[in-house]
Amino acid sequence: MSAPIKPRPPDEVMRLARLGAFFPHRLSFMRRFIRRIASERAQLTIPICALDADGFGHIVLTLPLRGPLGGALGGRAYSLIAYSRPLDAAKRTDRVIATQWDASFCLYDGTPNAADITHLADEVTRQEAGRYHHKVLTLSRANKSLRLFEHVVASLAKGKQPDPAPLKSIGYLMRTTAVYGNGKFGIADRARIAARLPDAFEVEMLTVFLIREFTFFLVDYCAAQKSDNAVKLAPDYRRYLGIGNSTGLGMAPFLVNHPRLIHDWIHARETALAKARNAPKATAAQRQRFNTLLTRAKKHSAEWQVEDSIQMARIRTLREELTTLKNDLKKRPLTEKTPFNDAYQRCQNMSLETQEMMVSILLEMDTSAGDATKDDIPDTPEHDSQQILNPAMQVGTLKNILHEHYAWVDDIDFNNKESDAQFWYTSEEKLEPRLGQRYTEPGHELEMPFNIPHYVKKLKQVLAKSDDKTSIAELLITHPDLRYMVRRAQTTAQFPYGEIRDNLVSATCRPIDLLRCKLAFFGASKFDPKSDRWTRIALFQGAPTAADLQSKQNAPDPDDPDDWLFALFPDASINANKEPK
Amino acid sequence: MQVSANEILHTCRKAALASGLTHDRATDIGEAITWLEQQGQKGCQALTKMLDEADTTPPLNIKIKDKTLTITHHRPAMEGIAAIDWLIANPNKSIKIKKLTHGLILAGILGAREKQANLTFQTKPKNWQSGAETIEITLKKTNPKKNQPQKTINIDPKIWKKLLTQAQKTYVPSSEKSRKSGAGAGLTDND
Repeated sequence: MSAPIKPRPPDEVMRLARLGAFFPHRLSFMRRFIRRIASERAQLTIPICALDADGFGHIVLTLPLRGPLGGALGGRAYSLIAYSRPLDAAKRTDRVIATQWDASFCLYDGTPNAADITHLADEVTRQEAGRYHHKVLTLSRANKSLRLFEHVVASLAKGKQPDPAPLKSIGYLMRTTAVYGNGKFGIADRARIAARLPDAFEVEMLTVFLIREFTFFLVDYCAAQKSDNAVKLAPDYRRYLGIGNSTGLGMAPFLVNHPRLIHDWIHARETALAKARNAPKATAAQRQRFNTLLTRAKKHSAEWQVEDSIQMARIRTLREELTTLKNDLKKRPLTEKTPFNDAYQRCQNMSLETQEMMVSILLEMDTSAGDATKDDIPDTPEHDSQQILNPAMQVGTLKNILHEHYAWVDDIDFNNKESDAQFWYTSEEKLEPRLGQRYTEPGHELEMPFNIPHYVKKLKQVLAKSDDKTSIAELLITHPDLRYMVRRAQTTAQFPYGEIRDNLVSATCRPIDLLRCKLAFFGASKFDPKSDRWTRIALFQGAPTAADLQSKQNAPDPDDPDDWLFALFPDASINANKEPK
Repeated sequence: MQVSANEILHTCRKAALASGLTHDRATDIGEAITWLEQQGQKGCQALTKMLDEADTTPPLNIKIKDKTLTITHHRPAMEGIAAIDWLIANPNKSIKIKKLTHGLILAGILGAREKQANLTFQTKPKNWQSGAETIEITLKKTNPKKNQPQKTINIDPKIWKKLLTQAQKTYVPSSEKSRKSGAGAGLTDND
């Protein structure tokens, strides 16, 4: 009997190129969120709608959630207050530095009254310039995808469904440019709501889900205002449409600053993959499911079009490799023994995109008896302190840690200026994280502490001259400047998937890889890089809508609201002149 | 004004960073001040006083002899943090601080470390204050402490503004070049 397959080691997984090839998967936060609201049969209501004939004004969408343990930890209603405003085209920008938007939102803890809505209007429409209290859980804003929004409203007003082509290519009616949570601008700290919404970014997912519902309501509403013959947007189209998002460097520092949390996420994913690979055999249903998902992945990649030449080349390779895989499977079905490891192994000489897409497929293979593995990321990601120093450790032990977890630093040529050509910093402009050129731009003295290779090198030099029996506490009395890296290395020893094992300040670092890793954990899809520093994405594309979950009639699979990996555009014939019941 | 715990953590961390502290010590200070404010103590006010006379230059004024680490010139974010690290590594020994200054900050550092590492520090005299002649700190292991429910925190707006101004020194001025590389840059958004 062969030894069980272990999770892939951090040295293999935590490389920028691989992280930058991640796809959404069943542990992604949007998937977890949809599973939760589906299991609760949460009923969306719209208690307040004060929009004018053009769709401007405010509206409240409320979703009650029972909370963990069937409400024992406080069932509660959560309300999205949406403020819709006219916006001059010249002021419509996706930049975080914008000051006006088509719509501004806050997620309110409970059901707001008229005074709350009036008071918050002045604050929420100014976003970062406003000031909030702990009843406000998140803050967000969005701009219309103008051409699509107007086309959809015009079509619906004429009593017909919109053209499929723009729906397919754009994929959302509005795109957000930020969703703020966890205490920003005075809103509630995560600790205040962690018992009720324990998943990572759950409150942010709830916000985006409700924004998506708002966009559906708004196009139906605006069309109805224009014509008595207006129809509603068809359910299949609603399900396909997500919420767009422009994501930049702001997301990247989070991954570096929260090593314990990132370890939890990646460790859960790698453990689930190892579990699938170790499955001794597959049932006929599992084999069928595998084939279905592979076919869907192939179609999904065929629908994935971007302008970025690097990403488009990767997508073309992915398409070719998926075709090769499918043809190979026809000739040579998966092995009887450990079939999913066979599937995994068949991709190992293929591109990282194909390898990681296969990981997402294999994570769908429910190899357990029930649903126990569906939510196996530890619930409470609220680590009060991300990194805790162990001052009692001896120098010899720390040397071993560096040898085991930071060997990748040895490959860096520190004499080459390219090794630290970039630096990360916070811009004074809306505190936007940015990346500068160390040798040509000012500000490197204020850089974020991401030059890990340099810190490791310095620490190694001091350790080499120190006695192995010396305690870290004593070492740090004479070398207090090393404390940051010592603490980080000790954390990595305990949480090895928490450290990205690549040089984040080298000239060749592509921040977009960091973004994609985090966005894939969110559940985002259709990554559409606009440079190596920012990307557009779609959130909740293909996910059941609130109406799907309530009625169960229109869900893609009424028995499985979780089956929406690799969203596909619906067959155009399905929706021609069709309106929901 | 009402502020969140996360705002206190990061504003105080950045303010400490701007005063010359390293990232790890600035984080410890941010956590200490957050802990103090959650206990109803005026941590932010104490921090502004400490930062006014910030001295963050090594070496550390520490002497170790037998079972005691003695601080001859106490700076909470420098000798204070190092001494607490040392005490955790040497739980049967003790710290002596002569001519204590910024006692509330030190109390915050001790409180935050207790919360993180499930420890209890004992001090002599028990009710020590800034300016006490000498205090002694020892350590004992305890059971994990329960997290306290979050309280609403109010800060004097003048103190908060002072901290924000200090924190602002960690931001890099914007330039047209840096602006062009951010998310959403370079595209028409009326598409």
